[in-house]
Amino acid sequence: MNEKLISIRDLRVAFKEQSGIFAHAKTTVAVDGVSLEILKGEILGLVGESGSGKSTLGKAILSLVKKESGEVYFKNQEVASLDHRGVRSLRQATSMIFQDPYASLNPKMTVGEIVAEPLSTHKLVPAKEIPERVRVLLESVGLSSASEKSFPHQFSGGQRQRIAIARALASKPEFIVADEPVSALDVSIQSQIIKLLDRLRSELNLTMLFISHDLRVVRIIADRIAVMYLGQIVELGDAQSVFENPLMPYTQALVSAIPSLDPGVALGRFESMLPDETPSPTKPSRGCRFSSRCSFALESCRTEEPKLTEIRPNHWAACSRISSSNPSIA
Amino acid sequence: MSDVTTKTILEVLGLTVSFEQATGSTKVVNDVSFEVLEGETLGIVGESGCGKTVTVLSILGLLPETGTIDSGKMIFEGRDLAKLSVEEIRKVRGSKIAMIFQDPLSALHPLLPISTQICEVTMLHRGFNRDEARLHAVRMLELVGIPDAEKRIDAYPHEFSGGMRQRIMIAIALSCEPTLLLADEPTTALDVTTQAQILNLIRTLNPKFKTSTVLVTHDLGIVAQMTDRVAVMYGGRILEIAKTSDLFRAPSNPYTKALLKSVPDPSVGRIEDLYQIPGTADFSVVTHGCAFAPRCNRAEQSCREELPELEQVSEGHYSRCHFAKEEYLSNQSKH
Amino acid sequence: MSSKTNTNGTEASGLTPRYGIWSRFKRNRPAVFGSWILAIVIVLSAIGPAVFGWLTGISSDYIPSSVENGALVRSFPPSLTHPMGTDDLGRDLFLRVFEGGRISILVGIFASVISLLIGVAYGATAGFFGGRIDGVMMRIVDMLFAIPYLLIVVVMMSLFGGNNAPDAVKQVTEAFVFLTNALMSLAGASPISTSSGLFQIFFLFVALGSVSWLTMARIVRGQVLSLKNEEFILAARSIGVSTFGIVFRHLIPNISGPVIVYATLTIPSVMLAEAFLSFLGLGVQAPYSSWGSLAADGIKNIAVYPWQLVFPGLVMGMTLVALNLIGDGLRDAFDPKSSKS
Repeated sequence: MNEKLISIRDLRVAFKEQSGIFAHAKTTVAVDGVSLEILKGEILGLVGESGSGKSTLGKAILSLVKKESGEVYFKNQEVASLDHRGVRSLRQATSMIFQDPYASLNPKMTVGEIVAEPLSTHKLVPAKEIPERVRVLLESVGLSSASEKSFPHQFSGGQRQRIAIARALASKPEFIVADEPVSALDVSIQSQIIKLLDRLRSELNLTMLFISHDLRVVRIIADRIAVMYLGQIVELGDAQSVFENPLMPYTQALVSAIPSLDPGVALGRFESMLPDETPSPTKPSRGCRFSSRCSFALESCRTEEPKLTEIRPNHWAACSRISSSNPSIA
Repeated sequence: MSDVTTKTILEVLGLTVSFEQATGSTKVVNDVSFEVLEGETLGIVGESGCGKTVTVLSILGLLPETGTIDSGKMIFEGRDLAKLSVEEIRKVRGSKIAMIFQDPLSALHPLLPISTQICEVTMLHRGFNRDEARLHAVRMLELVGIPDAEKRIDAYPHEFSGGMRQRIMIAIALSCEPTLLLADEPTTALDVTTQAQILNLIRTLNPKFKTSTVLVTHDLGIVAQMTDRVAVMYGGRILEIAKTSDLFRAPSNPYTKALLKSVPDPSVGRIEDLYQIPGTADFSVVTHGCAFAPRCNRAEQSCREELPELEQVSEGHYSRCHFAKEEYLSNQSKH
Repeated sequence: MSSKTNTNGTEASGLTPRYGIWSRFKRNRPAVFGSWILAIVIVLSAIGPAVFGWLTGISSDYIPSSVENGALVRSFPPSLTHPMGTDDLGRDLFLRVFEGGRISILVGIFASVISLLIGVAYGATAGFFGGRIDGVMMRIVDMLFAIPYLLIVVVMMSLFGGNNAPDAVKQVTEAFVFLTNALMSLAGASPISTSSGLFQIFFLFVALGSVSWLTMARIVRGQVLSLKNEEFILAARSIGVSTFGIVFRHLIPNISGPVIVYATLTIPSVMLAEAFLSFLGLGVQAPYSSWGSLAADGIKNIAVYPWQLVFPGLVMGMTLVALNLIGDGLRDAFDPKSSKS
């Protein structure tokens, strides 16, 4: 369980936005010096709000976006330095599930063609065995094999997400990035997909990066949780520990912002509400990124960038106001 | 939560709405009745396609061209909204009944400054002149928590963040001090922390303006936090309607129960405890029985053949299920 | 788990289901009406002259004449033998209108095929590679757009029309004549010969085709640019699909809708341009006819023999309207959201 499948060192991804030939390019730093390890067989939950760079981090790990600096090692191989064949085997050993099951399936391909594409791309099985493999895959995600002749638009959101999962599993990957896989789905369908992913994880011994803005979902499926804010990881630890004893003021706010299902208890749960909204990542502040919204921020927080430090066993946080000897901020 | 008096603001009776589709017409809202009391927040909760948005759009006559109100009454201030002429309903919109939408960016005009868009409403409905309207607009923006309102009032929608835009939408909606506010998934497009801010804002402002609210959402957490009463919709019908505290304490419809158990409970944190409702919500199939029967774990033959009535299980608590009483009592035995 | 497919679920209605295109087109009355008109015009152009000649014995160079008040009159009004009358040389107008229809329709189809080939390739390249390549390629299109395209065609026609046509055009024309004659001899008909008039027609095809692809390139580029960022393209990349596979399996099939629509709408605009050029005397010339050249001839005699303008104009007008109706119908069928309702 403790074997590293992926390790990321000081990864930085920036986007230049060119609005015209002569215009000044705007730089958005989406991922800003992230170091992280993903262990074999675990589900690492990555939470953060929009613009936190969580989705970009997922794509950068699969080398689907270009990094600016830093390294990503997949099974001890740096992914950006892979040659053509190396990239192909990386694509076979990894796959991705997207948020919007309407956008992530080619509307002009049949379900059978969609699920068969990874098989034929990597020539994993002889051509005449592909239909049989497709049927097995569809059944493993709870769709009937008859659905292979239909087009994606003939299915509901949850069924489409099952198709996307079947495609992601086709190449027998070891590692899957699931980018908000249940956010677009209804509650009752959401629980079906969460359970499906959890079952497949244990059956196929998958490692997964589960990206979501919904802490409730991440808490229930992930082994560990990483919290991202403006391109940086600000808290990392066991799911239960992060959720029940969040260290960073930001994580505390995230947890308390979840509307509770209990109408009696919950009144006044929003009290640790954050002022303002996440600032634009085009002009990040110096020092702690969160200092502009943090009610505990000192002058030093605005100038010195805190490092991710182990505050409790297996629970890390990037906040200069807390330490292992003084883990509580208030 | 606000004081609940007994005066009824809006009474919807047997609302039925159908949509013209390539394959024929489909009933999207089917015999829906509810009332909104003065000062209360009524939640309408359900999954996509259950008819919750169509219900509130019907109230303001904002259905798309393919949709028609087949039958039903919507009594507001002694008049049936369904019978009003285009001109009359336009006078009600924005002044007596206001609406906020899920996506504040597309609901605001991108090429007009905020000031124009807020002043427009009060000049039209309250007869303010330009100066009065502007003064009032600044006050409204301050009220909804736009910093520097005096200066920022002349900015354009794209210069605000998503949360700020939703605040502006709320300012516009409340600027004529409407009797009824319809909010269709007002925080779905926002981040959690921003959502908390907006929900808090709605909760503090409503008593101030004595506005009743119909809050449409798919999030049971929001329902629990924000509403006084709640209607659960499925397949175009109300399956359960009750005081929010009663509904969460003693859910009396198998669908409500299943929905509640499908929300991940972070305090338990075990995936085994997560309930999954089998199947998908396919509302294109017409059934004579209960729409939820194909996915229901206690459905019997009678459920598939005969539509259950909305049955009272306790005071103000109704459930549309052949086993409503049993379902209600099963909660008692647990406690 | 339910495997029932949700064929008319509200969730799917936002997308364009492929099976729905034909049924939506069929429900569009104007478009169906246009299709019938176009079908009739095409059938009449294809076999009308031959059938008409076989029935009446009149061929396109049949010249009746009579002497009225001491003057030789060759222009006859519509009658049973000449349903559309005759032109001022006495040639049957019905024959000339539908023989001209062949050229008009062929010019339209040819130009839209050219615009498909060049426009799709050019636009897809610019859109897919993006950045600097896209910038340069689209600026070239912008520059070409800045010049009124008929002006380019007028200049090309006056420089390279007729016998001045480039060798390549002449060779293609000769090959066409050779093939046609081979077919004609099989059918037992009299052979045709190469002439400056035929070179002129072939060069007209080239000239109109060479300017008709600009808008198509822009449309395709725009489509590719927005599709390129779609999640299913990213999904294909995450699987490891090659660039070739992404372009041909994922991009091209998804832009087919707007491309087909625009190609359909190109036909009437090119036909109109052809008519305009022929009307000016820069296009199809005698003895060949096209709707434009017939109208040019007819307008000279408008006061005396109005049918010589009315019939070519009517047929051309109906064809153009029909094609536009079909194009609009296809657009609505491919993209239900674009319709006015």
